[in-house]
Formats: sequence, structure tokens, C-alpha cells
Amino acid sequence: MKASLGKIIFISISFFAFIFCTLGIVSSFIFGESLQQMLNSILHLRIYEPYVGGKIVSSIFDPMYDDTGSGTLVYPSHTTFAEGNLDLVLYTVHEPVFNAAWQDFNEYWQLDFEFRTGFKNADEPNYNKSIYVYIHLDGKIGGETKTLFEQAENISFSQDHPWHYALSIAGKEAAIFNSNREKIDLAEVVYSSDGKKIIVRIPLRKKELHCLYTVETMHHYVLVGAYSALDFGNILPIEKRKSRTSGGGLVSRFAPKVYDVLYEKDQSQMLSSWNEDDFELSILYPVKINMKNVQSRTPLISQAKIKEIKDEKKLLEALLYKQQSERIQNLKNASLDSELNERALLFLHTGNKKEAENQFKMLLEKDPNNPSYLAYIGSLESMKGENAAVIAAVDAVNKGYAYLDKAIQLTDGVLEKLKNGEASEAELLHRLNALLNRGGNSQAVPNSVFLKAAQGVQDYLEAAEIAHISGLQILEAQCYWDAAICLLLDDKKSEAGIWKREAARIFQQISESDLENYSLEERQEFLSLYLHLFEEGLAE
Amino acid sequence: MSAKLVLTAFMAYIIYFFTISLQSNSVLAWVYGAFLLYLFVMMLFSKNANKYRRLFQLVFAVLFTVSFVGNLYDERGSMAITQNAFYESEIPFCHLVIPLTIIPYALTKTIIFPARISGHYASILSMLIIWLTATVTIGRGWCSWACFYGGLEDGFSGLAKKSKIKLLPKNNEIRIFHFSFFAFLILMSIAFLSSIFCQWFCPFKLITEFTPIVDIPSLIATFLFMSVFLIFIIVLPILTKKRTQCSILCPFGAMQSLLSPISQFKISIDTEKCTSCMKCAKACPFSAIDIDTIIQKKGRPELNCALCGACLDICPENAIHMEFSFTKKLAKKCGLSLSNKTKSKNKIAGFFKDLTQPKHAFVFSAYTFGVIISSSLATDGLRRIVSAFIRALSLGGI
Repeated sequence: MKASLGKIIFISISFFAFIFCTLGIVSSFIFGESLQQMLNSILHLRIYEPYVGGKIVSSIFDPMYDDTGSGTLVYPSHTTFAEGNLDLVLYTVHEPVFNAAWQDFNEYWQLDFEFRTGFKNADEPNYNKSIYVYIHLDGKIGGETKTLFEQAENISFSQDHPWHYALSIAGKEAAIFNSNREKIDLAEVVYSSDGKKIIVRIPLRKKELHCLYTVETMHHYVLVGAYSALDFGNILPIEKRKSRTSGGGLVSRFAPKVYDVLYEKDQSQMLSSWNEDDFELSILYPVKINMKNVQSRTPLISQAKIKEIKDEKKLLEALLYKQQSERIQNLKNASLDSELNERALLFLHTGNKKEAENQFKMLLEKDPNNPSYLAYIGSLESMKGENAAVIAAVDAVNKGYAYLDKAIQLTDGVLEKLKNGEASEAELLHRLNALLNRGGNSQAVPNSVFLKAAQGVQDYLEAAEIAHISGLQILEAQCYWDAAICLLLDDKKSEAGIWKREAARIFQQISESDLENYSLEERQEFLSLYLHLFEEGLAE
Repeated sequence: MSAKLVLTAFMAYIIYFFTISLQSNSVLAWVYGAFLLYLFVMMLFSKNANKYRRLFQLVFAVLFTVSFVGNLYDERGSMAITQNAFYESEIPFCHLVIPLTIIPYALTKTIIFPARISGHYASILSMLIIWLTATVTIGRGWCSWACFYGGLEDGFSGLAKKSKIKLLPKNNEIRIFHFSFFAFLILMSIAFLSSIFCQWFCPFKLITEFTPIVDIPSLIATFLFMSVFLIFIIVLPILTKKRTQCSILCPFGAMQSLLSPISQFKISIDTEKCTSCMKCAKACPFSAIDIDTIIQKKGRPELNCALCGACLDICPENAIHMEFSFTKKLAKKCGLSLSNKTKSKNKIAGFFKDLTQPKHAFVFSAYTFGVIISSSLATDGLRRIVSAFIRALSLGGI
């Protein structure tokens, strides 16, 4: 008896060890994403700073779509300039680094510049920016208030913050100068593969730059112009009308020749402060950079306000549900495709997925290449994986993507049509449905298994562009927010920050009078976004 | 027999899920899946599991290389590490770096390697999860069952019929060198806060990615890693029929050897049955069985055993077994004799006993690891080879 019991215990423990190994191995892959999050919540991993440019001391977001200088400038017509190429969106300052291993320079100072758009074609990169960074060191006497090169940017600097060092980035070349306009050293310029980001590393081997290690605060002026190898200060001139060799929109010969400057608020007033009568150029004001004792600024968020928004959202949802349920009843005997489509959507929004799927499938039978039907069926198929067993879940997601990819394929080229003013309303709607459904799916499925987050970013950003052109502000802001969430899934925090701020900026443009005209659905979307932004301290 | 069939069915399920379903049910995924299942059946039903394990690792290593290099060319146009990839922490993180990052992490709370933290198959966190899982389950069995580099040495060591250099008498010195080199790498990584192995010695740069030659140090590093590849991955494995890089240089292998007591499996030598023929010692590709191991009747291989199973297959006396690490203690507590090989009369008990045989459990677990790790990379590698082949045919006008 005792021997049998011993045998049973032995076999049971061996069996559990076997199950532990097999299940452990399989689970570590299936639940990889959650396990990674869990592990990181314990370890708080980050990369040794000297490898990645040094500790970040300041990240300053610049508003998007402000690449018009004082408000009138347009890009040159040369094909190397793509829309948004000169629109600075994020400027990052790192702490100077010393003793960095496995690098070109052991001692360096890194500055990062991110733009709204990158290379038109990654195989033929276009280095079309001329960037100037003028640096004022607090507490240091002397300095200069005129630009590094005469007749270049057409700008002057605040008397309170004259510059001591100037960094010039012209295309792929960069150099740092002192206020006597003497070149101190060349700097290294690295473009990201998509061309959106420029990393500049200034070697700190020259004694003249060693004060950067100890300075506590400084002020930076960052100016972005169009690059020209042949013009003053490598800045392409501005004329009244744009041409291949000049930008357009010049209103005065005193107007600055820069498209964007680093300024968290509206830059146009500052850039149009020139005075023709007194022959005075516009005066720029810098941005303060704290180099020491940097503490992350966590905004205070009112929990009471969050509760208030949540309650309001709940109330609105209940109202909307009631309204939608009534509408479903009204459409009970619907026979027109448009009404059936509306009914299917209402089923989906009220949570009756099965009925929604039946309706969409019925509609799809009649119109097998309708991108919207395909997109909704794709989402519904994918949703079936939510509470299913693992294999069934993967199959459901794969099946869903087959529909979603087809919907995207069928609507390719609509954005270009829209830009040329040729897209019909139906085409726009189909494209938006395809993009938003696939984007939503990419956000929902685990990225470690399906690797779809990057695709989700692309989908949401295209949807945002369509919404921007079509003047759909809430949708635009919501899409930027969702793109940011996908970027976070892909571990791209700084880029996510850019789009979150853009969502907040668009959101803030929505006035109360607009809100009154919104439907219940739109108000619900508005509140959802408001809640997200408020929770992150991006909305008041 | 029925236990083996159950295991085969489970493996088919795992292969279907990871290799076929997650790879969008492509034809090539089915082909690779069928190949994997064939190997598993042979491992289980033939008496030469090690032969099929080696075949798996070789195929995986080749397909991994094709996929990795192909992806690099797609993304960067070359195998050289770009400055952008370096500055943006986009260098793929591999398990070999893990031991070199642990102490610097404890000291600086940072990882001394410019890789992505999460969200990617070659991110730091995903490799850490894989490492932790491997450590508590199959231990150093990772090296012989799931490592995507190991197959190359296995492949080259199989080219010669007989070894030209006998390493057996030097096994102890090899082990001492391996652990000393490991200690040196760790100390250097702490001193310079840089993963010294990757920077200077890693031979796998030749089949993955490398720093472009821009100055004298990068020239020296290139010379070093090419020499290490040539000597330790090609020449020495052919001459010795051993996995020399794994036994002499690999920091991950050294660390896993030290951590092997945590794992669930180990190999045991029945000293009563052993006739000291030394076939196991000669066959061990990791130099983990010495002459002394047998003569002194230690009853188990040395610390650096990678559970490849070569000794199990070759022993003419069936004196070598796989067992759970807790087997002996548990058997003693349960009052069982391990030498008692009588078949259970109860069919259910017999089935479970057969199912939980440590060798079956280990092969199943370790192969599951290999299948999962290889699934996407190997399918991608296969796709690239097939499309290159089709392109070549169409260019040739066939």
C-alpha cells in the first residue's frame, strides 16, 4: 500500500514537472507581452545612457503644421521638399556624455530633432533642411545677437539671451561655432531610416566646449530653413512666389527666412515682429533648458474631475444606447441597403455582434467588394478571438485580417485623390472605415504575437490626414491619440508623445459652440478623448 | 507506445499553432511544420534522437541566418550596423549578451547594450523571458535544442568522419578556460560598461550584423570575429567533432552551466552498469564527460553538460539516463527503487509512467522550445530561399 502511494506521488510529481516545463515554455511565448510588462514593472529597464545619447534633460514639443514661418511661407517647388519636411515637432536635449564605449566619440553632446514627415523615398534620401541652434549659456558674459552668417535667416536674437555657441546643420554636415563665428569642431549628423529624425552629436574633445559639462541652465533658439548649398548660410531664399530655387510667400524683405522655430506657443506673432520703418528684424525668444537637477514634471490631476467626466460619459452612453435601440426598432422593416447598413452598425454599437455580423454578411453577399462591409466583418471576425481558446483566437484574428487587408487594398489611393480634390464622399467613407477598423484591430491584438502595431500607426495617421483635410476635428484628434497608443505598443515612447500632444492641440481647437452642434455619438467620442487627455495632463 | 502517440499528437498541435497558424497557414509553413513533426516522431520512436536533434539545429541555424541577413538587407541594405540603428537602440538583442549585462544592471540600473527594451522579437525583455524560462525548465539544454547559432557547429562537426584532434584528455583544461574567459568577460563588461564579447569576440557577427570598418579598433574587431568564426565554428569543430565555440567561448553557455542545478533535468550515469568504454566521453560534443568522470564513478557528467543526448544514444550498456533533477531525492522519500524497471500492471499508471519518463518529458519540452523559437524565422528563411530559387529559375529562362 505504502509503495503504491509512493509510486503515485512520484508519478504525479514527475507529471507536474513535465506539465510545468511544457506549459511554462508555451505560455512564455503566448503571454510574452504581459510577462514583458510584468518583468519591466519590476526591473524598470533602460539603456545605459552613453549608448543612446545620454540622459534626456529636456524634450520640447513644437506645434505641428506651423511650418509657414510668420504665417505666409510656402515650401519651394523643388521635388525634394515633401509636405511637412521642415515642420519641427520635437526637440530633445541630452546631458553631455563622457567615457562612452563602442562609439565614434567618447565624449559628446547629443541633440535630436524630429520632423512631421521624413524622406519622400527612403532609397533616395533628401537632406533638405538647414537647421541652426543658437545656444545661450546662463551666467556666461558676452555673446552675439545677430545670426551666425549675414543675410541667412533674417532674424535677430533677444538682448537678454545673446548666443555663445551656434550649431549649424546644413543637410548632412554640421559644425559648432563660437560667438566670434570661429568654427570649433565638426559634428556628426545621423538621419533615421525614415528621415523624420535627425540626431546630432557634438564631440566635446575641444577644451572650449568643456563648459557644457558644468552649465546648469541654458537657452536655445532652434530655427529650421530650407537647405541650399549655394545661398547665404545654406538657407534657401524666400520670394513672393515659390520656385525650384526659392520658397514662396514673402511679404517683406525683413521677413525671416525660416519655416519653423522652436516655440511651444504660436510662433507667427514672434516671427512677424520686424519693423520696416526702423530697419529692424524680428526678434526671437529662446526656450529654457535645465541641464541639471532635472525632475520629471508630473502634472497634478484631479481625481474628482476624472470621476465627473466618467459620470458624464456614462450618462451619455446610456442616452445613446436608448436612442440607438429605438432606431433599431424603427429600422425593423428596413429594406434599403443604406438602412440595412445603418441597422448593422447600430447592432455593432449596441453590442449585438452576432446580429451585426449577420446583417453585414447579408449586405456583403449583395456587394462582395464593398470595403466598409469587409472592414466591419473583418473586425467582427477578429473580435471572436477575444474569449476563444488560443488556436481559435489566432485563426479568428488571421481571418479578420484577410477581410481588413482586402478592404484596405480596395480603397488604396483615396488619400491622393482627396488631395487632388477627386475623391467622392463614398470613397472617403470606405477608406476611413477600412483604416479605422484595421487600426483598431492592430491596437487590440497582442503585438508580440502578430506584430501589427506599426501597421496600426500607419493606418491611424492616414485616417488622421483624411480627417484633417475633411475638417473632422474630433476624428483627427482621436486618430492621433490611437496612433500614439500603437506607438507605445511598439515601444516608441517619444514618438507617441508627439502624437498625443498633437491630439491635445487639435482637441483644444474645438470650441464650445462646435460642441453644441455635435450629435450624441460625436459628443461621446469627444468625452472619451477628453478623458484620455485629462488623465495624462494634456487637457484642462 | 500510447504515451508516445499522445506526445506526438500534442507536438503536432504545438507545431500547427506556432509554425502554421501564426504564419498565416502558408504552404511553406506547412512544409516546415511537416518537417518538424517528422523530426519529432523520429526522435521519439528511433533510438537515435541526437541525430534528429542535430538535423533540426542545423536546419534552424541555416534558415535563421538566411532570414536574419535577408531582413537586414531589406531594412538597411547591408549587414553593417548603421549609426542610426545604434543610436536609436535598434540593435537586435541576443541571449549571448545576457550574462554580460546582469552585473552592470545591478550596478547602474541600466542595460549596457543598445537594443529595444520591449515590443520586438529581439528586444531585451523578450530575450530575458526566454532565458528565464529556459533556465528553470531545460537549463543548458537550450544550447543543444533551441540556440539559433549552435547548429552551425553541429553541422561542421559532422563533416569529418573521425576527429583529427583528440580533446578528451584536455576536457578539464577546456572547462577551466571557459569559466575563466567568462569571468574575464564579466569583469571587462563591468570595468568598461560595455558588452565586451559583442564588441570584440562574437563570431556570429559574420552571419548576423557587424560594425563597419572605419578605424583601427573596428579593423581589429573585424579581424578578431572573423578569426574566431573560422577557428571555433568551422576548423576546430571539423577537426575535433566538438562544439568548440560553445565549450570554450560562449558566455551564455558558461552561465547556463552554472545555473544548471535550477533546471528540471539532468543526465545520470549508472556506475554499476558502466563498463568505462569511454564512448560517451568521446561522443560528447560539449566535452562534459572526462576520463575522470568515468574512472572516479561520479555518476553524472560535468557541470557544462548541455543535455544533447549524444551519450544516451551511444552508450552500449544503456547506463546513461535522463532524469528529473529531483528524481533521486523524491524516490528515496517515496521509498521507491530507481533500479526497479518492472512494468506497471495498471494500464493508466503505466501510461502516466511512460508519459512522464524524464527522457520523453525533456525531449518534448526542449523540442517545443526549439519549434517555437524557430517557427517564424525558419519559415521566413525558407520563403527567402524558395523565392531566390524561383527568381534564379526565371532569370535562367527555365
